Amino acid sequence: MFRYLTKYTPQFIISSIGGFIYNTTIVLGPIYMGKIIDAAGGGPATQVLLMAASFIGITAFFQFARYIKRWYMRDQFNRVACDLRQTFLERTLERELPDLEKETVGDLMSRTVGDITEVVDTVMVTINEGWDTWLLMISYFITLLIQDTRTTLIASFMVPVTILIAQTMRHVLFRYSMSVRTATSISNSGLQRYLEGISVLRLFGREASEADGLKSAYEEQTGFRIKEMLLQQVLLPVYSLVAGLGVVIVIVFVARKVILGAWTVGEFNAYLIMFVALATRTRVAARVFNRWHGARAAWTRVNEKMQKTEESEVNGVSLDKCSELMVKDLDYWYGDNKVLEKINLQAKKGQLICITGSVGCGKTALALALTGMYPYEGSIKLDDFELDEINASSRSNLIAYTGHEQFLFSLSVKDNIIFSEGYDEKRLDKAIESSALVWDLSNFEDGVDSRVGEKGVRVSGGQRQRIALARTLYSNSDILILDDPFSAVDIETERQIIEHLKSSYRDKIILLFTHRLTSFVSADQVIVLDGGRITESGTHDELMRQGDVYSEIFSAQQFMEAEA
Amino acid sequence: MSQDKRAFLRDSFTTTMKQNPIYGITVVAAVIIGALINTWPSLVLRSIVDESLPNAGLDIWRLGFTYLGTTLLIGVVDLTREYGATVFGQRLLLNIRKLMLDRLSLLPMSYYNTVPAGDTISRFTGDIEAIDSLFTAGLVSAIADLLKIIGFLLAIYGISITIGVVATCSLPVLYLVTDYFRRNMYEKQLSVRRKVSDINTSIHETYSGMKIIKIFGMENYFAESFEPILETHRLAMNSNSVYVSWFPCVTQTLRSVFISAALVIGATNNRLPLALGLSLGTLAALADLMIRLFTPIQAISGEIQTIQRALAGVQRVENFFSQDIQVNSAGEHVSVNLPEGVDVVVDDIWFSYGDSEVLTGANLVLPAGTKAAIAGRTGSGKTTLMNLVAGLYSVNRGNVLVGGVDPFSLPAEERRRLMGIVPQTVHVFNSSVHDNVTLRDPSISREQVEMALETVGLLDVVNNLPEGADTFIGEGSQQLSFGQTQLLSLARAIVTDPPLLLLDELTSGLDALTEKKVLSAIRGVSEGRSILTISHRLSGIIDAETVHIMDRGKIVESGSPGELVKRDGWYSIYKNIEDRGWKMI
Repeated sequence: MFRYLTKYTPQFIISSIGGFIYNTTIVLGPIYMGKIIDAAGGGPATQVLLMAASFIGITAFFQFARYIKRWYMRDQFNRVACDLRQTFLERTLERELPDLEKETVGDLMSRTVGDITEVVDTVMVTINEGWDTWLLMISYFITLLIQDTRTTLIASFMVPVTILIAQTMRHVLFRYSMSVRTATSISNSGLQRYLEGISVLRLFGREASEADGLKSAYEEQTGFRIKEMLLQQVLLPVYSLVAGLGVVIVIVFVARKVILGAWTVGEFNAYLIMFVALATRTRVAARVFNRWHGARAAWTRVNEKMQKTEESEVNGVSLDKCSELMVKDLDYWYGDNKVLEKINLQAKKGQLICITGSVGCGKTALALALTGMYPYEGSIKLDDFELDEINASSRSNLIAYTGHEQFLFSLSVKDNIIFSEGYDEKRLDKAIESSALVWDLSNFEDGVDSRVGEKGVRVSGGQRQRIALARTLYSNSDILILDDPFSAVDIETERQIIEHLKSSYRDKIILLFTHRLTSFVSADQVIVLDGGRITESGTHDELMRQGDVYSEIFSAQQFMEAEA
Repeated sequence: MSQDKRAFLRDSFTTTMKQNPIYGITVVAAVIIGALINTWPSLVLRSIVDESLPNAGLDIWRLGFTYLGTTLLIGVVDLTREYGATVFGQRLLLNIRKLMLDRLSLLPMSYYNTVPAGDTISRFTGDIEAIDSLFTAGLVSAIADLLKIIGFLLAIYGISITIGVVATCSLPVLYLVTDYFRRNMYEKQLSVRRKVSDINTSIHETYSGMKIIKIFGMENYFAESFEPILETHRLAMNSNSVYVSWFPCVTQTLRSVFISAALVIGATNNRLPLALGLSLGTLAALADLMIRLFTPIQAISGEIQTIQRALAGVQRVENFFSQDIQVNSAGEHVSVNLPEGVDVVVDDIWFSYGDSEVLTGANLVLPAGTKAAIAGRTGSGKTTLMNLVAGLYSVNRGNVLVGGVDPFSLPAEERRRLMGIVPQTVHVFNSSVHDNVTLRDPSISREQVEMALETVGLLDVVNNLPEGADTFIGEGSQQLSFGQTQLLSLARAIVTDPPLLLLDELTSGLDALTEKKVLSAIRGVSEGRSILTISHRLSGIIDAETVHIMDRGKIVESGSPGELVKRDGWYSIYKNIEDRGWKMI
């Protein structure tokens, strides 16, 4: 944290100077107001005007110092928040994929946004309170002491008492806040259950009784909330009142000084105002500590994800071309489950390899293993090099992938497809045509420049899949891994795409994973997986002749499509 | 309609007022008294300076305590007002929430299908709290502050009309300046929020698309594209910070100008043309009154904004109340002859949730006391068909008759006597096992619950729970396994001994052992009932006399399993694919 703060030392120094000036010269306000009263009570006109002008001038001066403090402090912390977020995102992106996938998006987001805000706000508020409460109270107290030591010491005896009471009440308040939170989460989750189970409740005619249960949950929540709010809001004025009990002493003792002629009425007035200000301020003095707890937790949450990982970005062999993929005795694990066992396959430039199998047979696992983003056992060789020894940038140039969840970014269709630095129009046109997107794009208002996502055009599931496919095709990678890319694409379109793949991407190794077998007729090789092992392998015709599971499923699917 | 829209506010306000008249009166009284007594300390100060000091401190102790007493009294009155407003406000919210809960049961299913649960929940939480701030932090405080201002002004006018005019002049100036800052800060705040949502969108997307980003090696591109978004957010923050930083400084300086003006004009010195020649005590009191006057002026502009923002919340709650409610034609008495059993007739029904047709002319007959199963691929319309038989929706075209009655028009209680439903997803409510079976229907006895649990084979499990049938289950408790909650759901359906059972995908997601238990439980309850089961898998079909295969919104094949397996049609194809462990596409 310190590193981020010290990066903006100039702002810190300027705001500190402002804070110091403001909180020390502020005592001149009441003093000069007293001087106006004194002058107005009998002094010459010039004296009245002079004092009035001085009062305004001094106020303007220390208020300006205050502005300086406020502005530079905010400027500094806005920058710190910005830096923290950027660093957090960068560090997160640097982490290895298997490690990253253990995180949930919601959690990462709340760390990037909420937690950083909490940390930065708290540090700023604390520094600010340090100035505006503690230094301010000290300034007032010292000034009061200088003016009248005895009265000040006697009259402010309740101030420390108040701070002590406030400290004690904090725990009570905390307990009530917790009860409120618990009660709220009970009623909220009750409501959520009600809404989720609405059909059950309605079918069984039990809505009213469930609503009654919720009503009593809300009643309990209301009860705690009232108590919490009372403690929160009602106690604050009480603190000020208790701290201000000494005001009687101030009035009586200082009045004596005025009577004796030692003090003027203006000085009396100034002293009274400062004392009341000191007493009022005590109520916030305890507040600062309340937030520290939360901020610490938030900082831990941010920091634990920012530890730099040793990235092997530059390590490893570089390779820019690949004409053969050779998988030998590949084993692959999901946690403790072995999901692929002894997989062997060979694919050459220009081949379309289609892989299928029952639910949970290991199709997706094989697709992911071949991306090289996850650890595997056995061997995956691109030409003569082992996949996990190839460096990250070569790897992403050589292998392109599209998975079940085709992720589109809220960029234009074009940028989603290009998805790399540099741009080649011919390659883009070819990718769009091969993905059967031409007709779809002509219907979008801005064509290929239309934005997708929240602020852009709505794309259907099938369009989404084909845009993701186009991204894979545009990448110019030698190995294209397509995991279930056609589930929302109709069969006729799928046929067209396969034809394009066969004709326009002849220099690639294409691996197609799907349980829909329509396009397998055009495959150079068909592989059937079951329980993580290869059970059938060969051309479509060979497997059909073999008359095993593959041929049965193929015929069954033919029947269903024909009936539809 | 528009007159009706705010009825909920009026109704809940009246109810709250009737329930808590004391709090209502206390608030009003505290507001009025507060306005009257706020000027006291200043006036006591004047007495001290003008009467006690010149007379060698006459009565100084008494005056000192009076000063303390008046400040204490003001504090107590403010406190009482806060207290009253808090209690009243919270109870008002409670009443609104109760009205909203009552409303939930009147909304049609289409509301629940189209409005995300999170949306409804935010009506109950955030938007309701906006109404709270409208009441407590907005209206009550604004009125109290307005009255305080009037009180101070009256006191100042009482001292000197000229200075009263000065003080009155300060009102619009301070109000306008404060309002200027508040408005700008609010606007900037909104733009900051928009930028925050940009950040959220951007990182949500980056984190969600992590796999693709890493595989395509685009980490740097996304890290860099994050920078300008953060920078615009920072700039938005800064432009808000400008106003935030200047705001108190400007108003405080202005305050000093007005106080000076009041004192200069009120000066005792006669040689100044305007000087009024007020006493020292009066001057001190004036300074004090002016300082106190500015606090409510500045507060009011904030309160007005609170009210404006809160009205947006009111608007959203209003929208909730203006949702169309469902009219079941449940009025007329419906009676079904229970003893002979219940039959189901589905006659050429069509149904759509929105644009796309889900059912396209489905036909089915379930004679009383028989068992039938519906099978088909995901999305073929099985669950929708079941929901229509259960009477959750009304059909667009065609007829559904259960025991000769349209199930949609059945009154809620009647439905539960007629049919027991086990939906696809089990909902465990946060309450005891007993209440989870009865769904808080007091007319169901403990014996009935025990019998139902016994029938589904859960009784031993329940008796072994720490508090038996009274054990709390639901969120956060791990008392029952997934399979056991399925059985619980079945017990819930049969506890009223209905002649018809509707079972939806009962065995999906169960391990083999639990599946066996559930199936034997169903066999145990099937005696003498009509049962309609739907299943994604043919292995889930048990003891059905008839199997109906559904595809794309209608029944494409029907018959007994024995017949169908011999026929070269859907059933045998499905069975083949399923036996191989493959998905039906």
